Amino acid sequence: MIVISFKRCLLFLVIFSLCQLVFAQNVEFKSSNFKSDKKGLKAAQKSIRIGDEITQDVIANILEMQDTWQEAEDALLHYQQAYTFNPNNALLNYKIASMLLFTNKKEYAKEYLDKAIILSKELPDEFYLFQGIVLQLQGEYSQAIESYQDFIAKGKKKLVEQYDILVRKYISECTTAPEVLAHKNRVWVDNMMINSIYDDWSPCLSADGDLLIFTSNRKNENIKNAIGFYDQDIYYSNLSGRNFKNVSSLSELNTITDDVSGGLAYDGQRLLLYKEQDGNTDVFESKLDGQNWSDATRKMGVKLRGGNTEKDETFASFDPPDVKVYYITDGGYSGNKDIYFSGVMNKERNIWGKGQSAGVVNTRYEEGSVYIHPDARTMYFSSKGHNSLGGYDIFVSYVDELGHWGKPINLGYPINTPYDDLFYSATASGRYAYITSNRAGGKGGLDIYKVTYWGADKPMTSDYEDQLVASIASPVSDNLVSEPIIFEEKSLTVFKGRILDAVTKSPIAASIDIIINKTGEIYTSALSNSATGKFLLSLPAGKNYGISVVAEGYLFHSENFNLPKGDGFNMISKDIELKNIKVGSNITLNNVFFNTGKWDVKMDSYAELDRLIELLNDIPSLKIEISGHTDNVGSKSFNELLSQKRADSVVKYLTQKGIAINRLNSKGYGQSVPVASNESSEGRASNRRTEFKILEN
Amino acid sequence: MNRQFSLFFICFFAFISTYPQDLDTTQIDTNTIQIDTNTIQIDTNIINYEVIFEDSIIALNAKNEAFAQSRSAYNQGLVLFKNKKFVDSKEYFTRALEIDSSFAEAWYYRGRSLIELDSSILAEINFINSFRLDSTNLAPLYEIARLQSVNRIDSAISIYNFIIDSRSGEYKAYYEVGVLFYLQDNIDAAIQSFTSSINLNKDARTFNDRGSCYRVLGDNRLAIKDYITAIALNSELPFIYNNLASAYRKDGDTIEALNYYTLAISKDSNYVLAYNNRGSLYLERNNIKDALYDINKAISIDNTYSPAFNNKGVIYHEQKKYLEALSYFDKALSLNSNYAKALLNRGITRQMLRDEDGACDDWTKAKELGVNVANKYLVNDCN
Repeated sequence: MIVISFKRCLLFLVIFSLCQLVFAQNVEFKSSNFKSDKKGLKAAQKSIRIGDEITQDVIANILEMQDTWQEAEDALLHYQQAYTFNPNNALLNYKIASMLLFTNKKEYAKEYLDKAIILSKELPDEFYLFQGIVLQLQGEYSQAIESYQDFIAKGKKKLVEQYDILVRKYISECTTAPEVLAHKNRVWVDNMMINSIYDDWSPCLSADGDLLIFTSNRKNENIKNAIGFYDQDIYYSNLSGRNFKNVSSLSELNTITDDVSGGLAYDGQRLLLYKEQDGNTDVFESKLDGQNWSDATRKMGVKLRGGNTEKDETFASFDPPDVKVYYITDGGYSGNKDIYFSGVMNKERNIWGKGQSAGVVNTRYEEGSVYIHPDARTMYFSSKGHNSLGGYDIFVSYVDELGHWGKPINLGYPINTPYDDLFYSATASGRYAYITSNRAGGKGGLDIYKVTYWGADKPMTSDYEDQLVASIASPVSDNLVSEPIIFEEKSLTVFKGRILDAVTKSPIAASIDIIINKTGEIYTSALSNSATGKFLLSLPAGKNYGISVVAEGYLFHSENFNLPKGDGFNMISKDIELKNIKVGSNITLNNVFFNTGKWDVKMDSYAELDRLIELLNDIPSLKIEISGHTDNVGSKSFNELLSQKRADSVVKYLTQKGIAINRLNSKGYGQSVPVASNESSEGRASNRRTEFKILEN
Repeated sequence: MNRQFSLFFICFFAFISTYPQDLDTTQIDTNTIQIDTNTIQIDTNIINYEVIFEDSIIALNAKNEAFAQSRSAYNQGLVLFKNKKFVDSKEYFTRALEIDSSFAEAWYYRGRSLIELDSSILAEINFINSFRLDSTNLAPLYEIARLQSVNRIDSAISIYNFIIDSRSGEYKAYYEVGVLFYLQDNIDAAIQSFTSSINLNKDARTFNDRGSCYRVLGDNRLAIKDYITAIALNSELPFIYNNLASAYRKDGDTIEALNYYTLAISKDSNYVLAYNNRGSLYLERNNIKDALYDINKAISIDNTYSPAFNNKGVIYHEQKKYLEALSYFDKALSLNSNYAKALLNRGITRQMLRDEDGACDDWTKAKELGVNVANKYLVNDCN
């Protein structure tokens, strides 16, 4: 028996593959090469022709500095059809590589370009240009410059002139890259577990970092488009431990066409998204009403007014005082995608000012996303201009006291790479941020990455001990713990909590105003969520703030915060309880309990009744009726008697605690006022209840 | 004598007087026996008086014999005590006291034997008996105060103050009071007591301890002065060199610090603290090679000394060898689970290893143990 070892087999395969590659022949799309499959050849040639036509559009877009991934994908689709017929054609491999470079699958271009040059040395002049891009993607900046220069030197003059601006831009990127890379960021950039093999992008984070909304064209129930992609849908994930793990569709907002998240309000209660209507896209806003997202309405005024133009307004960001919206538009003066902002003139009537350029952050190249940090002084945006390492890079700009945005700073590696790195959404502390990138090594297409800033080096503490007292043998540690150097701490406070009914602890939808006490101006306003009572506000340091909370039928609540300048980042969690004072309002005391058929108030009811006593003590003018209710089990007369006795028991408890009897009525309604069906046990449980009604205030 | 102390004193002796003796205290008054040797006549008839006299002689002889037996038992007990055979020594002192319960020295040594046998309560009773029988000997009071200083520091201080008031020149009592004040973080009072002791007797240890008080107060110059005086008085105590080194270190003079750590090691080649301390100083000076040598030496001397494992972890962390660093912090914490600095350090290493949950757990515990920096890390990195 002949035994061939595994290693020998492997060696044979490797040599065989190498030989195939080295001695691979360029197989032209000629009938002589495909005598047995002329039909297939014809189809392949047709695919290449269509691909070439689309490629012309792609190149035109590239030369105009426009994003063109969809067209490039379209061209690729056709080239790939030809490739399955004949994978050994140099020109086809070259074409596939060139198109891949303008999609979110750039990392695969090298493989095809390498194969093309092995198959044939006779490739178009642009080969050096695309080879330069491939080398740049690999971080081989010097070699990339050489390749670009080869293109300039060896390419036909007209062609070189055509690509002049682009090539000079690429050379400039490669020249400035070492400077950008010299700055070492102390960050971790991690691919998130919520990513799919499809595009996952445009992450929008609430300021407390608990809610992440993003967009994905992952598989859904809709039909793929002509180039094989599902439509974009909006998804959300809630923080679980330290990570976002589970993903759900934000189904209220998703349609059969593209739905793209653009910017999330810091409290997670409003979402900016863009969608197409009548031929162009505008920014829309959806509000979280309880547990559901409302229908999106146009932000920044009506169509073609305010910030809305006949061109496309897409990704947007709120600003913390909630008086401006920053957004990406190609409807500005330059005609390419720039960052603009529009200010509110009349919130109730949705009247907004005309869009204005955000200034030096904009370039002749495309700006891809914008995000204003909750500290209200920091803008993160992506751009293909400035000193990008290649493709989109993420930059930061700080606003000065006059409101002008300062010179952008490249966030550097590893946040930025020569691939496209865009979007930026951060926690209020600034410690965590989420970005999007099509860098190599992802799960497929665009992926969302978590950026963790681990701050200054934390000093280690070595220990030394002394026998300080001669008669005590135990040594005493004498050195102190090394103090860390804290830097770049965001100077703001996140104030989060819930607005609750003081007695029942049920959530309340309340209007919250933050007032700058010195000027009396309202800094920002927010609404607490009706289903959860949750609110979140970010307040820059250096001011004394007043907070006022108003809800219909409830006593007004206010308090003060003094946030000294340079106070660092703080997170304050606090529940605010409002007192119900509306005459006629009927409030169910869900935590008042009796034994079946009995009327003595059980001990575990005391906490809720004590809160009611607090309310009555706080507002001496209140007069209330305590009412008892039963389900329909038992006779009507018995239930009336039982409910009356129960109401009397509650009144007795209240009077024993000092509430004057003339402020209290008791009434037993028996089964006459059900709030749910008595057919189910849940319904009957709801009907067995104690309520109080405000009679006078 | 202050009022508080007077109260203690009254209570203390009330306790002594009410405490029942565990041995027979029957005594014969030998002063009442008189013998007229000039009128001795031989008379074979024994009259009553003579019978009484003869009995008294027998009794005296018996007493003398008992006294001799008691002293013999005491002497044997003392030999056993010096040979650290405390069970046997206690037996012999007990035998001595069974014969002569007024034997103050036997009570004292029986008390010391009991201390060695971890019977401190019984020991204290023995010392009380000893002092009751011989109030000129203050040694039992020192022992009582030493026992009480474990968990009744105020009471111990009162006893030492009683000693100081009883007899002038009791520098040891001043010293002990100083140590107790130090333990109570009453550093100024400790310095005062050590100074009183030094005024009566210039002792190296007292200068060392006063120097340490100055260090605690942050006055490194006075600390250094006292440590140097201590070394001048006794140049063979390695811990004083070590303390002097650390004082120089705190004063920023790392060269002198290294010199004195080295001198401490020269006085005791197995002095684990000095090796560890010098190693940590080398580490501070980024001299990793020497730091590692010293820390390894400290571990080889005492492989249960947790600070050395912590420092070894720090060395590896600084070299970005995080897995190795983690193993040494783990070891330090296995030796002392409440070692706050090692918890703080391990948290940092765990963070670098991307074990953020583990890091936050460590910092949470470090915070609970009183490390404020850990709270900063928790706020910044764990929210």
